Amino acid sequence: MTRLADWTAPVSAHRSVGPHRARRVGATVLVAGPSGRVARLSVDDYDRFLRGLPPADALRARLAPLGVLADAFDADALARELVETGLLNWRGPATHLLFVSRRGATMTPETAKDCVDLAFATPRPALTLELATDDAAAAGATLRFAARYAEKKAEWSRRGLTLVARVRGDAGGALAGFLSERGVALRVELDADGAPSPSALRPCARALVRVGPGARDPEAWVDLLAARGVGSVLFAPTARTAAHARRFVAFYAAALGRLLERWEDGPNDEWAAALLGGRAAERPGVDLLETLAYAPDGGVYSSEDGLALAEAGDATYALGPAARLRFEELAKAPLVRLIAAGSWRDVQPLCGDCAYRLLCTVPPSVHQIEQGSPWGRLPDSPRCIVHMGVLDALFSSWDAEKRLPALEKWGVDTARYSC
Amino acid sequence: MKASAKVPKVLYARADLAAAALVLSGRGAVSLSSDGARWIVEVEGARAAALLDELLDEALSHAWRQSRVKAAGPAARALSSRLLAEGFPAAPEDPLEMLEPTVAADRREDAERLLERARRGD
Repeated sequence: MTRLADWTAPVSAHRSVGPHRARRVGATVLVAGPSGRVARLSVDDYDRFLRGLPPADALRARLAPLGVLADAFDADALARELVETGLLNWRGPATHLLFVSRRGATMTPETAKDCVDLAFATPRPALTLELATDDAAAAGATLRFAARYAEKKAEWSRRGLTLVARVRGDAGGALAGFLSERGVALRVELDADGAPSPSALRPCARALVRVGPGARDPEAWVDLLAARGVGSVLFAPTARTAAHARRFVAFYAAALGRLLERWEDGPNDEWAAALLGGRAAERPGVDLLETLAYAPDGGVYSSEDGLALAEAGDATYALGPAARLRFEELAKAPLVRLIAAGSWRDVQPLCGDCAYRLLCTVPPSVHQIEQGSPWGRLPDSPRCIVHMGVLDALFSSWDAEKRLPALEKWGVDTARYSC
Repeated sequence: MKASAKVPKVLYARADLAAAALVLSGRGAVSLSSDGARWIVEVEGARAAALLDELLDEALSHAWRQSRVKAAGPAARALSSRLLAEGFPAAPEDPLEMLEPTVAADRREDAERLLERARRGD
């Protein structure tokens, strides 16, 4: 019934074997400790671990930091790491997604100011502000204001700020020049729902590729992106069914393979880096815990998917207008309690036992769209299939010598991973 | 269109079927009757057979989730309560603005100048 049950980790009663989660990845076994540190072992090594490792065995040095050796348990280190990586250390969402234009509606500069003010009312020491537009010509003035005002706010509050402009279609010369001048990263959003079309993609540094059910020829897509000078590519599924999700995983795995062939330094993939490098609570797109989305009218939603639900008539994931919301009062909102309940992995069937437990959360708003409830139905959840497939592809392609160290430039704490 | 199934009560509790019916909200109507040891589940709506499959999957999933909630719920409740109680502090006040009122006034003027530029389309 479930993909977790494709392979069941053997049970060991040996006194040196501590609680852990395991998953078969290719010809290896991925072992995860309680704080999310993982190691990829050969099947033989995993078997030796289960039978009990003698004190002089070199494998103990790899496994001890994971917290999976019951006779070498460092409770202080584990407790420290669980606090550092857990939600109790959470200080607001990292990414604020402002839709300065969306589906024919354009945000006014005054509304953009309210949204930026709310983003800076969260106590995080560093924020990412993503300014998204599907009509750069109409939204240019608001986008420029939001970027300038956010820079001022960051300077005044002495906080870190990463500005990203996400543009669907042509950014236009003037806006592209403004973004380049201020060091704002431009990410071009495009659809892959067929074979790649060279005319559909202009040269750009970053791309967000929305992979539809009809997407074909992932290697050619990667070649086209490379030919256009794209240095960073983020593939996102449009899949809402299990069948489409499996097609996306196949597309992603093939594209990743091609990326690795072309860029020998390792996958230049911010999504993977964010997934693996951030604190455990910061998973791209998770409602409120990682992101807030702001509609052109100033409405605040727990995520982009929460906004999409509202546009389809279900306002469950609406938090209120930016001009009146106070971050410190959000804990009282029923939606925030729903998100806490929906995304708490230990009470989710399958998630609680999953080797990827601390690397992944399916956002409640995604569950709501795909399966009609905030916690979804994990055995056939399309997004669970996507996350597990992506993580399988990433872990099976990494090695300790070259590719994993290459992720350090993205801020990934590679000490947490041993391949 | 209608689809129906008879399912054993020992596997499908009434509460799980009721919770599952919520997931079909807006897409189909669910009715429940009994012939003794089995529930007679009937779903009415477009693609009724698929909705019935989804309902029965959802009921099992709900039962499974409830068993997890029972096992892990106390710890999850304690930790999420603490998150809700302490995880939403306001950003600290800017000491410069607090000590020197003109700083806040200057910043408001800066913001207004930026707004004015944007209104002019710049």
